[in-house]
Parts: sequence; structure tokens; C-alpha cells
Amino acid sequence: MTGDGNRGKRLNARFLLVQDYLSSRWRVERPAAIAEESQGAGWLRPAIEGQKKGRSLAFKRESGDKKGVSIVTWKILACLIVAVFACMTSPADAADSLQSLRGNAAVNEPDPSSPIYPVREGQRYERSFLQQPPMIPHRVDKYEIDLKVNQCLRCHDWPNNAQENAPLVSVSHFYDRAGTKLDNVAGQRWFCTQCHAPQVDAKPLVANRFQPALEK
Amino acid sequence: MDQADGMAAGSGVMPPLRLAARVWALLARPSGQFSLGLLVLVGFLAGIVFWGGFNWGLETTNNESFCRGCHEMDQNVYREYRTSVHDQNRSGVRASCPDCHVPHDWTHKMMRKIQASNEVFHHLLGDIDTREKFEAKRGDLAKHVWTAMKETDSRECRNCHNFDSMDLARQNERARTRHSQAEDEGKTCIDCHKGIAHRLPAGALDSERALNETWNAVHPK
Repeated sequence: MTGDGNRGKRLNARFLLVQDYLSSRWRVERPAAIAEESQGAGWLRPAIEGQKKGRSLAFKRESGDKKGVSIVTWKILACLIVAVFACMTSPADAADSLQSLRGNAAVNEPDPSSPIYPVREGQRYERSFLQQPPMIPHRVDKYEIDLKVNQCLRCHDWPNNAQENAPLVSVSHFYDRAGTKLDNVAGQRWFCTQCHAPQVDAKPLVANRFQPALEK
Repeated sequence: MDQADGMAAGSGVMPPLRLAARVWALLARPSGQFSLGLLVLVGFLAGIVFWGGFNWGLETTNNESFCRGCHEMDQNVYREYRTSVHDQNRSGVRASCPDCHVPHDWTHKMMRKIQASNEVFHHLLGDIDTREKFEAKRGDLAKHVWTAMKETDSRECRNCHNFDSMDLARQNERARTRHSQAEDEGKTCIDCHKGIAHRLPAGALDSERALNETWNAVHPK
């Protein structure tokens, strides 16, 4: 509880600090409360000290003395110099020095197409780990799976699976997320290809140390 | 002629029955002026023009761009057909709308063309002029096509896909087993291949089952 109280105080102090900073630009006196508040949050004190200095400088600037004006002039001059240098360096130099993840490829250059792996049909890939959704041993690219129809269920749903001689969807797919048993495949299991993928002999996209359970 | 002219001028309109009788009398009378050769030649040329025109009319209303002419087809089924295997494939052979939906032999083609007047009628009524109306009706429409395909033993499919010409050895295992099984059981293409060029209607699997059960009970193999 004390920790929470401190946190509230600290947040309050930080808010007052911002307020103090903003108000200093309009030459409004800092509320006396901030001084007491900052006593509680010791870690804020140096920042507030710095803020005080900043405020004193701001006072000077706004009082219109010659030192303030010269700072503005210097800033404009610095901007001009930077702009001149930016114009002198050509974009080609920048492209040579900068390397994107694709190397020196132009921004609008198309990526090479990824290889197409044919679906391995007529054999079943064993699961790599127990909870892995089984892979699909046939092509599914023409199957319609949308809000109206799921063509996978034409063979894999009961009672069609018997006459089509296809494996039945796991019984777990007939429970909704509340654990209620349903007569049809549950809504959150509807889009088969979210978990099940056609089996292909694809290479890993990134090198990794994963080992299938069977090879351990 | 004078009498007829006078009567037409007097009464204004000739009674239709009398007009028909006069036309028939004209047609039934042997020609006194024209030679038989000229009549045959004119008849022959007129035949070419009219028969050609008739066939031209049939062909103009029998291609993809005509089918897409009404937005019901263009916005719904044509868009779904695009990129389907009958539109795009590795060999570039296409089957467009009439290849599957209009019979190729003359008799059945004429019958289908006459049926199509019903579709024109419902287009004019605006029965499916929005996507929502179309989707609501889609189950019935699909069932019409499925039933027609079952009645004709998928005749339009078989214009290109023949069981006899299928090299089962070049099919994958699943297709091979199922095709030989289907041939033995006397199944027809549409029994399994539904929604190949268009999206399926909602509840398609249930209505497919219902159709197969009722149809197979009425038409035992």
C-alpha cells in the first residue's frame, strides 16, 4: 500500500514538473506545492534543480537581452549549414553506404518468388510432437472454407466420413471453448487450415535446433 | 384490289380473319409471273440469310461476354469463376460459361435456349439484382443446376472429361481410387464435383446429401 502511495506521489510530482516546465515559459510562478512534493520523491530532486536553472535561462531569454537573440541566430545558421551539406551529398552516396536486409536492392525491386513445393500425397507424415495438428496428406488449394461452407467437412465430418472412408475430425473439435459438447464442429475449429497444413517437403525458413520427437 | 383498297380506306382496319384469308389465298395461288428457277434461287438465298442469321443470333448469345452482360452474372458467378481451374490452368485451355451451361448438341441446346427466357424474365423482375438477394436464392439456384446435371448424367462435363479417356494411372492415388469406385457405382461427375467453378451456397453439404438421397431413391442405378 505504501508503495502505491509513493507511486501516486511520484506521478503527481512528474505531472507537476511538466506543468512547471510549461508554465515557466509563460512566466507563471511555480506552485509552492511542488517544492513539498519533491521533498517526498528524492529521486526527482536533481531534475527539478535542473528545471529551475532552465527556468532562470528562459526568464533571461524572454526579458529580451542580446545574449538570447544571438542564440537564435546561431541556431538558424547551424540549420543552414546542415541543409547545405545535405544538398551536397547525393542520394546515390547514401544508397552505397546504407544496406537494407535485402542488400543493395532498390526499394521497388520485386523479391524473387519463393520455391513451390508439391504436396506429398499417398503417404502420411508422422507428427513431430504429440500436440501437433496432423498434416493433410492431399491437396486442399481448391477447397472452399468460408462462413458458408467448409468443404473439408464433406468427407471428414460425421456421418460422411464413413462412406467417404476418411478419418473423422477429432472429438475435441466438437467442444466449444466453454466445454459444451456440440453436434457440429465448433466455431473456433471451423477454419481447418489455421492449424492443419498440407504436407510438403519444405525446408526450414530459418535455421533452428528443433528435433522431431521420433528422432530424439 | 380496287375493292380492297376502297374497303381499307372506308372502314380503316381490315378484320384480322379476312386479312389472314387473303394472305393465304395469295400464298396458295401458283405463281404466274416468276419462273420456278427464280423462286428456288430466291428461296435458297433467303434460306442462307435467315438460317445464317438465326445461327449467328444463337452464337452471339452463347459466349462469355454475353453472359457477363447482365450484372447478376458478372458480379456474382463470373467473379468466382475467374482464377478457378476452368479459367486459368497450366495448359491454358479454358471452358467458359456456355461450355458447361449450354448443351452442345442442337436439340438440347434449343431446349436450354427456350428455358433461358425464364432467366431473362427474372432478370427483368430484378429477383437477384443484389448480392444479398442472390445469396439468399443461391441454394435453390445451385440445386437446379445440380439436378439438371444429374438428369443429363453430367453431359456437359463429359464433353471434355470422359471416363473412357481418363488415364487413371496418371492420377494421384486418391483420385484413382475414387474415380474407379465412382465408375463402378455408376456415379456422375456432379455427385462429387460441386462448386468447382463457383462458390457453394450456405448449407451446401446438407442439401447435397438431401438431393443424393431423394434422387437416388427415384432413379435407382
